[in-house]
Amino acid sequence: MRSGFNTEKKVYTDAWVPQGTLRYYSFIGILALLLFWSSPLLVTAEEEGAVASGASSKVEGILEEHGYTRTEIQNVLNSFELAESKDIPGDMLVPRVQEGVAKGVSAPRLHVALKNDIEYLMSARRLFAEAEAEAVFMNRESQWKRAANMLAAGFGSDELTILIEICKKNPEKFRPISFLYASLSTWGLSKEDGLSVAEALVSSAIPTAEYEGILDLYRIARRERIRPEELTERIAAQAGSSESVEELERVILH
Amino acid sequence: MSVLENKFMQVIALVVGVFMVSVVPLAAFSPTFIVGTSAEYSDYSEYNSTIWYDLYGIGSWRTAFDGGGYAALNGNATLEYNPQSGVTQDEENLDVAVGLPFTGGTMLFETGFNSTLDNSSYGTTFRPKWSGKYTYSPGSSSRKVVEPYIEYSGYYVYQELGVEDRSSHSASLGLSYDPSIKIGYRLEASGTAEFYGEDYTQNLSDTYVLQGEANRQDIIAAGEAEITGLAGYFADWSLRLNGGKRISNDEEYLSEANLKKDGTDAVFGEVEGSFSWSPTRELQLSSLLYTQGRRYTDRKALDENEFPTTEELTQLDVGGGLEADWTPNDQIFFVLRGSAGKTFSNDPNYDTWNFSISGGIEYGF
Repeated sequence: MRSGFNTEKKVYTDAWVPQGTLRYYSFIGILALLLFWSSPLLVTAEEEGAVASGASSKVEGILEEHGYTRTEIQNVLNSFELAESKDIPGDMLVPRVQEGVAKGVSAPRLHVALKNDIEYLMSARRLFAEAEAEAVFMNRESQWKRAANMLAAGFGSDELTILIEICKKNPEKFRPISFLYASLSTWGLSKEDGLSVAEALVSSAIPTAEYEGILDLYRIARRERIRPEELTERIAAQAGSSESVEELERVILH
Repeated sequence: MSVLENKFMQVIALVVGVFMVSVVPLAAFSPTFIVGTSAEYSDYSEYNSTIWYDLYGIGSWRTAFDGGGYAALNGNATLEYNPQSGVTQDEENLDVAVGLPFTGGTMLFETGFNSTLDNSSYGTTFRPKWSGKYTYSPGSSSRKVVEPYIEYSGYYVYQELGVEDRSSHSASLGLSYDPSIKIGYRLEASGTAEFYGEDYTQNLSDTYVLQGEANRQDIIAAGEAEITGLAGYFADWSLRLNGGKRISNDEEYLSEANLKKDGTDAVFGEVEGSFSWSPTRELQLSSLLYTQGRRYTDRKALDENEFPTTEELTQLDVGGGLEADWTPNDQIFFVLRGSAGKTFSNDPNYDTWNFSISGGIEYGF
């Protein structure tokens, strides 16, 4: 106690600090501490605001840079507000704006494209939810976007639902298998065959990076006049016991 | 065919037969049968252009064994008719392959034959072949490994009317490395020994006074490098380079003067590139470009008067081919093929060109 008193005294008796000034400094110090402690919260809040409006301001900048009028910019920004109101991150729509301005697309067309994107993203989310896989897939923005892109490319909800079901236990395989499915479909493989191949591959140990090689098997089979449906049956029967596309090819084709 | 070779072939056939019969196939895939017909127009330097009509059949069957093994059977037969000369000739091919997982890798046994019952140049011919290959795969699930392999292959050629009856035995050592599904590399070194029958030297004795009784024996040392790759989902390509040297014992039966006319020692090299594209299941386009060179080390180029010059004979072949096929339903295929080639040589006898185009239709059952 004595020691403390003495200390206080020492402080009070500081040569050039008046006693009333200490209270003032204490108040300033507490205020500074409060500001310091609360600053992370403020910064976090600011960052959240920045994220929410970051996409909009980024888009605004892009559109201004490319000479869009204020009204046109506002129309586009309205789409971002609509997206955010439906819990769709604005960042997911930015590439569409970048693509649009790169192609010199008019603001009304860009607005329609964004509106469609929002609808496809909402439909994709609904399909994930219907498959009771929302939690599994929605934490990966790229998968959500991929599903929306498939709908935009004209693939049916039924196809996407089956692909989601197939990948429910292996969500990381959704994107690569959907790319393969789309390519097989473009090549001309039937929906049933494409989904059969997808199911066989997803449940196999074949790495996703090798899925691209599956279409090569169909092209080789074609050269040997093996019908695609026959090859699908072979893949479905043997993919499960193969660790690579090369191994699969060796058994069913070469 | 010597007794030793006969026995060796019997052993190969027995091994393949045991696998074919004793291993119960767990997944026999549907067989494929095709019949096709085509017409080919070809032209070759100063010779008259000619047309061949072909009728052919192709069959294949495959089955998978438990644990990653498989057996495959492929066969085809062709009948050709030339309306200008009235010549009819045939060709048959049969290939059998058995692949099996083996300690640390895989084994592949292949056997088969090529034959003609009545070839316009060689009469009846028969060419059985056989091979065994072991590929070591350290860590089969990882692509980042180099897979070494060792292979032995052989064949025997019988020609009723020709004189190039021979047996051949090759040993190869290679490395393959596929860092990703999109690209793969292969390097191979091989050595081949070819043993010709006495018909070859007897035929030479009609033209030359031979120096000895030896039969022709060649040794070929060669190296090959290959890169294969995918170009997106719908196309693939390959680039292959090889080169080597053929060393023959022809100095044992040909004089130095005759070696200049018929010596077979040579160095050779080849570059070949191919590209195939199938944007839809209905259509496939394939192309091939090649260049191959050969320089004889004893043989000299002949001039217009058939006299040997001081230059070693060199030949450079450059050519390519295109093939397109289209199917409306995976059963009927319309096929169009074309090829062209030119040989550049310092001997006018070998300065030639060739061209061919064919169109056909195939039906799959």
